[in-house]
Formats: sequence, structure tokens, C-alpha cells
Amino acid sequence: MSSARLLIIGVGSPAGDDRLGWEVIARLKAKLPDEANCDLWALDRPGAGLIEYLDRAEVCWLVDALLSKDTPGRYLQPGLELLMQSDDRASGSHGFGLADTLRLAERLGMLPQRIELHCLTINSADTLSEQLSPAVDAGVNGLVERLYQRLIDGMDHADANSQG
Amino acid sequence: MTDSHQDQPTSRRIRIDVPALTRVEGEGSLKLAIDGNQIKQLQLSIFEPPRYFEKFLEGREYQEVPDIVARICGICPVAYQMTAVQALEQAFGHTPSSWVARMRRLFYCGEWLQSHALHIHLLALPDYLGFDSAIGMAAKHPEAVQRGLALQALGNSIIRLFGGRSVHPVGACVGGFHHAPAPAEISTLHTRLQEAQEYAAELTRWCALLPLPEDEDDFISVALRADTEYPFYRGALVSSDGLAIDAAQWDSHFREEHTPHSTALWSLYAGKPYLVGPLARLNLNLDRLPKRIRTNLESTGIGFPSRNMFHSMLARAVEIELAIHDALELTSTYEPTAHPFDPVTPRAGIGFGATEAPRGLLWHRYETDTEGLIKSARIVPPTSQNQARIEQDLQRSLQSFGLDHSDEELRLHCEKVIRNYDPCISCATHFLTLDLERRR
Repeated sequence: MSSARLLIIGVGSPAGDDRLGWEVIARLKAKLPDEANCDLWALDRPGAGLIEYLDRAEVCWLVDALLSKDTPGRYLQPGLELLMQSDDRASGSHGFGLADTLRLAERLGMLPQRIELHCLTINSADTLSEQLSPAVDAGVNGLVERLYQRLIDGMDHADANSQG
Repeated sequence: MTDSHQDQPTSRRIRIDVPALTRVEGEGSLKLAIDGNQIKQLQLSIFEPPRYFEKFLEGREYQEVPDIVARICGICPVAYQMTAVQALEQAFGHTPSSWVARMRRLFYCGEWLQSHALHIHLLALPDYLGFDSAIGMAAKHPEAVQRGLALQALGNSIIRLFGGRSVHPVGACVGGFHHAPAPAEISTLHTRLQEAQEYAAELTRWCALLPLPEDEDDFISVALRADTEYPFYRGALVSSDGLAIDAAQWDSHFREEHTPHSTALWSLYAGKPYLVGPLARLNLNLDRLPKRIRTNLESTGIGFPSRNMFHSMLARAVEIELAIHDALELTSTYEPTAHPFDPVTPRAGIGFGATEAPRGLLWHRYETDTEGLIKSARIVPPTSQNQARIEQDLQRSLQSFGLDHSDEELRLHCEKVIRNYDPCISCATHFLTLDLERRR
């Protein structure tokens, strides 16, 4: 991992499984040591407002739910190009969903140098619940562990370099 | 689209449907039927989620209200919070401290900034520069989009400062705020506002040069009007035909009613459609603009009060300038406090609130019991107040535009007219689909 400060953003809403991005941030924050070289943000349907966060980061991991008929809670890491080609125009506030926002940021040269998308599949965003379904809850734990390990490994690597 | 290439059409029916959207602030549809050179049917229907919130609020404690009503809109939660706390404080006979009143105005400045910047640059501007979206526009006009994003970010920063987050903030309460910003945070904000002041003034001049249609109309403007300042949070409720009332007198002059083609309530003033929003505000409060901003507006050569609805775009730009001007003043004189809210003693009562949301007048009424539980709530959002006016404008504007235009041109014109009001369905009207039927 490079020494550039990492920005991790969880995007979501309070609605059922759609809150998974927030849960990842909350659980990761609880596990990480204070010296971790990263900033964590949970954002509520930021629309184009996401760009102000992306613009100030060199490296960003973006966590979001992916609506799918697939098994819920499954981890996917879609490529940026693939996501930006998708049609999510109806999914965000005032017409700016994640794909539109990333497309706009790219047009303006405001994307981080490195951006990774970390997604979990969900079947629906239950507007009457603020709880994750068991399958997505398990998926969140798996994703948190995956991200945590990378961060810890990165810290160990940085320590070794500084000692060498 | 059906049957669009028959000979000698005697009539045609255009239906514009907005698909149901789950993560936006409303949904609507427009039905348009044209027979020869006459509009036979024009119906704007909006489904307004806020109606449910009134019922949700019943039986809730008064402290819960600001956080619940913030959920009504992702773009203007501050307006809902500020109107609710104003109404509840009136019901409890509580007068907010000077510090609270000033910081509420600053909080509100943040919302106007972010909402107007979003609307001008990402929603409306593509209409006037010939693009189908801000993404397409960004390639040719990156500086315009970046300016919009920077202003939106500045507004969001102000909201976050008081609300903890920019979408559905949680920092406001009946009596004040849960916390006071640190002086260093205010100082940083002040510097950013200073940097934005000049390019906000440029934005006004730039908007005045856009090819806005010349489309004069006759309409009634309704907005707040305060003694000395441009209205955000307080003032009498006035109209361009001479009305001047307190928010408590709303029901004597305004009426909400159902229409057969819409599940949302329509609001009428003296039985007629009326306009709320930036153009109505500016038309009624031109003399409340700070001199510097008024001089800048006058330099554009566009006169106000204006009867051209498309000057709403310019009015929003002026209000961005104003929000920055006021925020600069409020941050330059900021004094930290250990008491960001004053304790409130609930009592049985009725309270009314009226403030200026970015897209227009927002009115609340609450009845509370002795414990401060909500017995009843009424909320009249700006978008439902503008519904009848939008339909009226579409009727006239389409005739003026010319019904002999192509289906696509008619659709685009309808979208432009609707979007100009910045309704919460503007997200949906970007995706209007056109089904054309021609009758033999």
C-alpha cells in the first residue's frame, strides 16, 4: 500500500440492506487502531456531493450496495469502467446515482488516482426496516475483515519499510 | 410511442410519464393531449411523500420532530427542521436567543447555497447550454460544473458544521442546536466564504448572459418579507397583490385541495395558483438585498420584479450571492457559546412556522399536549404550492412556444418549464418518456 492517506467511503441510506455501506464503516472504525492511515466516512446518498470527497483523496475505497437478483451478501468488486457504463440514473438524489457521479468526476478530472469499488449484493432496500438481513449482515462482516486485513498488512509493510 | 407516421392527423395525444423512483424526493407524471392547435388535456400529477410524515409525527415527542421532518427531503432538510422548531417554539411560548437566531440563519445559508448551486449547475444549466445532462456539459463547460460543485460543497460544509452531516442533519433541536461550532471551524469557513464571494458575483452576471427564453407571464408571487433583511427564517407572509399576514392566518387565505388526477394536495391562494420560490422572493424583496448585490444585479440590465419565469435561474444566482454575503457577516461576528440551546418547557398549544426553503415558502402547524407530544401536524411544502402554478405555466408557455413543434421539442420544453421551478420531482422529470398517439 502506498503512503498516501486512504479514504474509505461507505455510501448508503437507512433503508434495510442499503445501509450496508454505513455498517462497513462503523464496524471497520471500531476495529482499526488509531494510527491507521485512513479516513472513514459514511455518506447518506450524497449524489454529486460525493465528488467533493473524491477530489481530496489520492486513494479511495468506495463501499456500496449493488442491487441484484443474485444471492444477497455476495462480495463483488466491479471495475470502475463497468460501473460507469451502467445505468443507475434513477437511483440517486436528483438523478445523480453513483455511476453518474463517477462519470462526472472523471469528466472533470476529479477522480482519485486510485479508486476501488467494494460492493455487496442486495435484493432490495427495505424502506420499512433499518436492519440488515442476515445474509447481508454476514457479507458485511466478511467485507470488513477483508478490508481490515489489507489495512493491517499495509501498516505492517509501512513499518517494515520505515525500519529498513 | 405509437402511430406517429399517419397522414393528416386530426389530433394527437402526448403522454409523459415519470417512472416511480424510490430514492428521490417525489414522483410525478405529466399528461398532455393536443388536438390540432389546442391543448385538450394537461395534467401535472405529483405524489408527495410529506403527507405521510404528518401522520408519523402524531404521538411523537417534540424533541423527535426536527430529526423526523429532516427526512422529508434530502435536498432541503434544514428548511423542514427550521420551520418545525419555529412552530414548536411558538406553541411553547419560547423565544430563541439572539445567538440561536443568528446561527439558524447561517445554517439556512448553507442549504440555499448547496441547493441552488445544485439546481443551477447540474439540473437547469444543461437545458440552456444544449446538453442532455451535466455530464455531457462537463466536457465543454468544465469550469461551470466545477464552480457549481465548489459552491455546493461550501453549502454542505455549513450544514455539516451545525448538523453533523450535510444530508438529513441531526444537529438542530427545539431551543437551538446540540452543539456550537468551535471558533477555528468558523474561521476556516469564513476564509472559504471570502474566496467564494467574487465568483458568486460572477455567477450572477454569467447567468444573466444565458439564452433564457423571453416568456412574460402574469402570476401572483408569495413569500416572506422581513423588516430589514432578505427572508430566510422570519417575516410576514406577503403576496404581490397586497396580502400581508402572519403564518397563523394561513388558513384564512390559502386552501389545500385534492384534484382528481393527483394524490398530492394542491394549494391555492384566493382560489388561484400562485408562485413561491426564488423569483417570488426576489420580486417581493428586491429592496432587502444588500447594496453590493443589488448593484451587481442591476449591472446585468435585467429588471426586477420580473414576470419572466425563466428569470428564476438568475434569482437563484442572486440568492447564492446573498447566502454568501450573510454567511460572511454571521461568521465574522461569531462568538462561541456554552449554551447553544435554551431549555424549552413544553405545554399544550398550537404553533405555526413559515420559512423560506430554497424552492419556496414552507409552512408548518403543530398542536401539542401538556407533555409536548404531537397531537396533530400539518406541513405544506413548496413543491405542492407550486403545482397548480406549474400546470398553469405549462398551458400558457406551450401555446406561446408553439404546438406545431416536434414531439421531442415539446417534451424538452415541458421539461424545461417544470425544471425551472426546481420541484422535488425535477430528478424524475429528467427522465420523462414520451408516448405519442395520433388519432385519425
